[in-house]
Amino acid sequence: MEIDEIKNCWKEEDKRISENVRINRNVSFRKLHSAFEKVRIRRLLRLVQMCIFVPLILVLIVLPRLKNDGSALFYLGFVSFIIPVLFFFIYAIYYYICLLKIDFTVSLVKAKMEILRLERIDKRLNLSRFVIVPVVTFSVFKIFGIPLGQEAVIMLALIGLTMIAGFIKRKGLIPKEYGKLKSSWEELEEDEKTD
Amino acid sequence: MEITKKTEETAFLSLLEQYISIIVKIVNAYTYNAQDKKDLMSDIVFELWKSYPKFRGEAKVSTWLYRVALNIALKTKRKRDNNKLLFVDELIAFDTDAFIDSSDERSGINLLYKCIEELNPINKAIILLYLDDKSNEKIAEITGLSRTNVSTRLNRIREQLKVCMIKNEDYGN
Repeated sequence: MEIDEIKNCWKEEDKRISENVRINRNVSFRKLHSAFEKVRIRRLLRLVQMCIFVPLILVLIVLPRLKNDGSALFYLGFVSFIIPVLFFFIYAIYYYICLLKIDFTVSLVKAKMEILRLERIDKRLNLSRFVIVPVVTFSVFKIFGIPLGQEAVIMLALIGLTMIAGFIKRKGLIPKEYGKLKSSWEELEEDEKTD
Repeated sequence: MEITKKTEETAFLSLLEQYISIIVKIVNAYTYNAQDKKDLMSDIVFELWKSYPKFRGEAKVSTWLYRVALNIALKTKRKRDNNKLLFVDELIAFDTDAFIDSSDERSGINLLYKCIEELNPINKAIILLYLDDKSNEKIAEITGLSRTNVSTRLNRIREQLKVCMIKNEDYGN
C-alpha cells in the first residue's frame, strides 16, 4: 500500500467519524457544569487536605507529648525528627502543586520534559524515605521520652528490617528507572537542540 | 455572569463538535479497549475545557487542540479519578464497537491503526499529524521538535508504515 492510499484511507476515516459522531449537548452542558467542577474541587481538596494533615498531627499529637528533659539527646532527636518531616511536607506539596499546574497546551517535548522532571522528584522522594524513616522513628523515642525497653527495641528492629528489605528490593529497580528517565531526558534534549 | 458562562460553554461545545474527529482519531490510536477510550476521551475533554479560557485565540485552534489531546494521550501514567466522566454521545459508538469494527469494509483502516500502534508515542503523534495533512513546520510547532528532526523521523515512519501495511496485507491474504 502506497502512502497516498494510506492517506486516502485516513481521510475516509475522518469523514466517517465526522458523519457518525455527534455531541449530545444536553449531557455535555451538564458535565461542564457539574462533573468537571467536581473533579476540579476534588483535586483542590486533596491539596488542602495535604496542607492541613501534617501540621494538624504536629500540633495535636506531637507537641502535647513532647518530653523535654533539657538533654542534648532530646534536642538532637527533635531536630532529626522535625527537619525530615518538614522536608517531606514541603517537597510533597511542591510536587503536588507542580502536578496540578502541568500545562498541556505547550509542545509535546516540553510537556514530556516537565513530566520527566516530576517523575525524578517522585523517585527522589521515594528513595530518601528509606533513609529518613528509621531516623525519624528513632528520634520519636527520644522526644517522647519512651524508654527503650525490649518491646520498643523489637518494634524498632522490625521497622528497620522492613526498610532494609524495601531498600534492597528497590536498590536494583531505582537505578534502572533513573537510567530510563535519564535516557528519555537526553533524547528529548537532543530533539530540542537539533535543527 | 451566568450568560457569559453559558456562551462560553456553547462556544466550547461548537468547537469540540467541529474538531471531534481529531480527538476520536487520537483516542483510537493511543488506546486499545473501550474503557480506556472512554477514559482518555474524558481526560482530553476535561483538559481542553480547563485550558479553554487561557486559549482564546492565542494559538490556532487546531494547534491548541492537537497539543492538549496528544499531551494527554502521551501521558502514560494518567491519574485516574474515581468518578469516570462520560462525556459525549459517541460513547454509545464505543460501546457498540463502532471504532473497533473488524468487518472487511474497514479492514484497511484497522490495519492502519494496527501499524500505527507499533510506533513509539512521539512517532505516533507525528504520523497522526502528517496523515491529517499538517506541514512539517506545523508538526514541529505542535511537537516541539525541530523541522529537520520531524522530516527525518517522517521518512523513517512512512517507510515503517509501508512495510508494516504490506507485511500485514500479505499475511491477511
